[in-house]
This record gives sequence, C-alpha cells and structure tokens, in this order.
Amino acid sequence: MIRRPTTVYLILATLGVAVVAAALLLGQGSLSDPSLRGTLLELRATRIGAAFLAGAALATGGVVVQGLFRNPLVSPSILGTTAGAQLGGQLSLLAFAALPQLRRIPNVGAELLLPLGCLLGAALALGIVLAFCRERGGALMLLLTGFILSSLFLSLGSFATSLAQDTWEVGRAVVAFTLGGVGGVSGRQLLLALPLVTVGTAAAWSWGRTLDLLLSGEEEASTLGVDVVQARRWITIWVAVLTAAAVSVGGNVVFVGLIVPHLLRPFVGVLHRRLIPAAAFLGGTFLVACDLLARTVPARSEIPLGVVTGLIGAPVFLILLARSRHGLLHG
Amino acid sequence: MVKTALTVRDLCVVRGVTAVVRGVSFEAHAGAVMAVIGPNGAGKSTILKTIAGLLPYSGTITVAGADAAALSSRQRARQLAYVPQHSALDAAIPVRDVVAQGRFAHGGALQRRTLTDDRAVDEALGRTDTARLGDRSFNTLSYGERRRVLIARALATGAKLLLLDEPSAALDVGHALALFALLRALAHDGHCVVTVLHQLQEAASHADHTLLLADGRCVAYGPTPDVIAAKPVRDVYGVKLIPHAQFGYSPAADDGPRSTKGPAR
Repeated sequence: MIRRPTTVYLILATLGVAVVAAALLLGQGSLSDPSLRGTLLELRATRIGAAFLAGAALATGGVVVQGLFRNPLVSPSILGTTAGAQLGGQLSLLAFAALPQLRRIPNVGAELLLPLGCLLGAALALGIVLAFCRERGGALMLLLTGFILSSLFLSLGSFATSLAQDTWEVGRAVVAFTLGGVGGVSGRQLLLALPLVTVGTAAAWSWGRTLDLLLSGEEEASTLGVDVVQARRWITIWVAVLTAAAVSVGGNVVFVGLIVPHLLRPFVGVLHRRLIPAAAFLGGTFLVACDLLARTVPARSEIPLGVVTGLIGAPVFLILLARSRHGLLHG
Repeated sequence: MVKTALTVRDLCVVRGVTAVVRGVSFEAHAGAVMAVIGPNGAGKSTILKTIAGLLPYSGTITVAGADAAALSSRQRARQLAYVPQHSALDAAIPVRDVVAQGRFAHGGALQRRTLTDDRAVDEALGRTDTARLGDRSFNTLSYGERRRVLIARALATGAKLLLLDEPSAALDVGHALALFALLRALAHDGHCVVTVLHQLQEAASHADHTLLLADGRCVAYGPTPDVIAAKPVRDVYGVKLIPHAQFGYSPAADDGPRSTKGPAR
C-alpha cells in the first residue's frame, strides 16, 4: 500500500522548523550579547537562506533528473551538472576580471554574472549527457558519462583557478567559490537565487505529470500524448536553472540530489507532484543541518559544506550502488 | 454504413538498412476487431508501432480521416491508444494513477484532474476488472494484472482506435477469454480494435478481419475465414490447418461470456 503523504509533510515541516531554529541559535558568538545579537542573527539568517535554497534546488533537480533518465542513481552532481555549473561560475568570474567592458555596464557585477555562468555550464553538461545517453543509455553509461564530464569540468576548473592566480582578488574570489559553502553569501546573491529556485521548483512541479509518464519510457509517454522532445528540452532547462542557482550560492555541493529523493520515496511514493515539494523542503532542511554541522564541529577553521555532504553522501551512494548492482550490470 | 477508422496505404518501414514493412495496405473499421498475424519477424509489431507514431515511415496512415503524420502527440493520443507487448513501466505508482495517465492528452497546461477524468478512469478500471487493484502499486502486480491495467490506461484515453500488441500473452485462459469478450464489447460500442496475435485460433475465434503478413509484406487481408484458410496458412507457416480440431475452450455455458470478470480465485 502507498502511504498518504500528509503525515510526511507535517513531519518535514516540524523537522524544518527545528533545524532552522537550531541554526539560528547555535554557532560561534553568543546571542546573549545585545550588541552582537542583531548582526549574528542577520548573518546566520543569510546562511540559512542560502543553504535552504541550494538544498531545495539540488534535491528538486535530483528528483527531476532521476525521473527524466528513469534512473534512481543519478543526480545533478553524479551527471556532472554541478561540476559544469561550477566551471561556468569560475569562467564568469575570470571573464568579469579580464573584460573591462563588462565592469563598465551599470548594475552588472560579478554577483549577477555568476548565476549566468553557472546556468550555461549546467546546461552544457546536461545537454552532453542527454545527447550521449537518452533513453537506452543504461545506468552504467549514465554514470560513466557523468564521471567523465565531472572529471573534465573539474580539470578545466583547476586550470581556470590557476589562471586566476595572476591577480590576487580574482584568485581569491575563484578559490572561495570553488571551495563552496554559504558563509560568504551576500543578501544580493540570495535575492538573485530566490526567484531562480522558486521558479525552477514550480516549473519542475508543473512537469510532474509528464515525468510520471516518462517512467513508462519515452515511447509509451509519446503514445499517451507527451511531446518527448519538447519535454526533454524544458526539463533540462529547469534542472540547469536549479543547479545553477544552487551552485551560485553554495558552490559544488554534492550528493544532496541523490540522497534526498531516496529518503522520501518510501514515504511519499514516486509521483513527482508529491515528491518534488517534499524533496525541496527536505533538501533545504538537510543542507541547513549540514551547514550547521560545518560551522559548529570543532576544527581549526570552518569545514567546507561540500565536504560535509560528501562525507554523508558517499557512503549512502555506495550502499545504493551495492543494492542495485544487478540493475547496473544489466543496464 | 461501415465507418473506416484507420486506412494504411503502401506503408514501408525501414529499420537500419533493412525494410521490415514493404508496401502494406489495409483498412480497419469502427465496430470491428481486426487481427494482425504472421510468423516471427513478419513485421506485425512494427506496423502497430508505426501507426502509433513511434517509427518513421513512407506511405500514408489516416486515422479517423486525418493524416496521422500531421497530428501532434496530444491529438494522436486522443485518436488512438497503443498497448505495447512489453511495457517499460515498473514503478511503484498506484494503479489508479497509472490508469489516470491515459487522461494526459485531455489535460490543460497544469494537468489538473477533472470529474470527467475520474469518470473515465473508473469506467476503464471497471471494464478491465482492475478496480480492486486501484490502490496497489503497479510494480507489485503480476504480469497478467499489469496487462489489464495497461489496457485500462488505453481505455481511459477515450480513443476510438485501440492498438494492442499481443494482449493475451501471459494471460491465463479465463482472463484471455475475458479480454477477447472485452475487445468484442468495445467494438460493439463503436471502437476499432487492431490487435497483433500469435495464436491463429485466437484470431479465428475473435477477429472479424485479419491481416496476414510474411517478411513485411501483406500475404492476405480480408474477412478472417478467408485469411485463416488452408492455403495462406500453409504458404506462410508451412503447416496444415485442421478445421474444427478436437481441443478447444469457450466460456462456461452456465456463466455466459465474462466480459469483465476474471476467474474465481
């Protein structure tokens, strides 16, 4: 029997409120000092907002690409989309520094170019995966293509980072962006990411029934009235938007899009219109919790957010791989 | 007056470098069941897939008077429903939601379900004896149950032309007979049913017209008794037809034909 998701939504809401409250109250610096309280709360609220948006975007993107490829082992990071977005972001920072014409355009700063670069990078990565794998690619083909793309984009990103070292400010900005994390996110960045995540999530939800039909394969979906080419194109665009928004505020945060849909499916089922809102909420909450962990675990300096999600996500992914070994071997 | 639901003229389909359907022409009518038969590799499933819009072709396919090539995916889905031999669906979707997928082509931009959609789903579940499975996950069903749910999804589309690829495969005798009774009832309601069948006796018993294929070509086409006759069967299959063979089955006399119910469990 399939469970009704109302209870799950209530649990998620309670969990979300608890984690956000903990993230506001805990961390370095004491809220009992009235002179610091306002500043600390503002900084933490910005971090929480950025982490929530990035987590919601990545988890929604994960649900959508898993539906699009009919494969529960893929996510924006596994497919190389986040690495593509990161490379796009790095190149946009370099372009902003290298091209004085860009800096002369009124109201265009690096903050505005960053999401655009991320968007182009994510779209390029997804386009390549779609061109290579499509319907009959099989799980192994998908994972290998994603691995190769990730490696390529990360190598090119390292090259871009080394080029950026010629100028100290640019080098610092590119390195900070590459390391990821929501610590340095400004209110303006948050305001830029908010509409991207909101529109991207709403659009993904609106394609939910199409994604449900695509679970029957592209041929059956087509006979039921889905314009598969158009659906694939638009869904790819929205995943790119979501990934770009996430990377522009959080950097290359891995595994969120893989873990969150898996955690939810046993409780809310596989129908995308139920899964997407739950995934967005749990993804956001999960990344806020990871960020809280990153800044409160005793260490010499703050642990990068991507490291925390990687430490949690990698073992979970290995478990999933082991469980679906048969499916992988047989495409 | 007989209403033509499907007209196929000079249909040719090439897959890779091989012509798998070569110059096939036929018509299928509303209110009738048509069987497509032939040996393995004759091009039966290819013809159905092509009519369903899944393969490129040359020639003309006309569905309810409209050129199929000019129809959008949605328009085609409202005119014809296709049930493949093997569905790729293996997800934990509730059966009722699977059947409701048949309403996709009728939905608006937001795909909100209407009372008309609910009624169509209820009717499709009822006609295929799958209403009791409504809350079950599709991936927990047996193969035969899945077949019936997919037929229900096709019925929910409201399309008048039904294309079924070996619908009775993997069904037990009771459910196979119930399925053919359902197809007959649908034809009686004005549907045009075109179905690929492997078993000649099924085509002989349940089809009004039959298209016999071999090597992608039409060998015989017309009323079933004329097609499933000694000469064409010997020419295509290399076997001798034995009319009125001793072994066979029919719905139990005291129950009458079961149009919607499966066997007692």
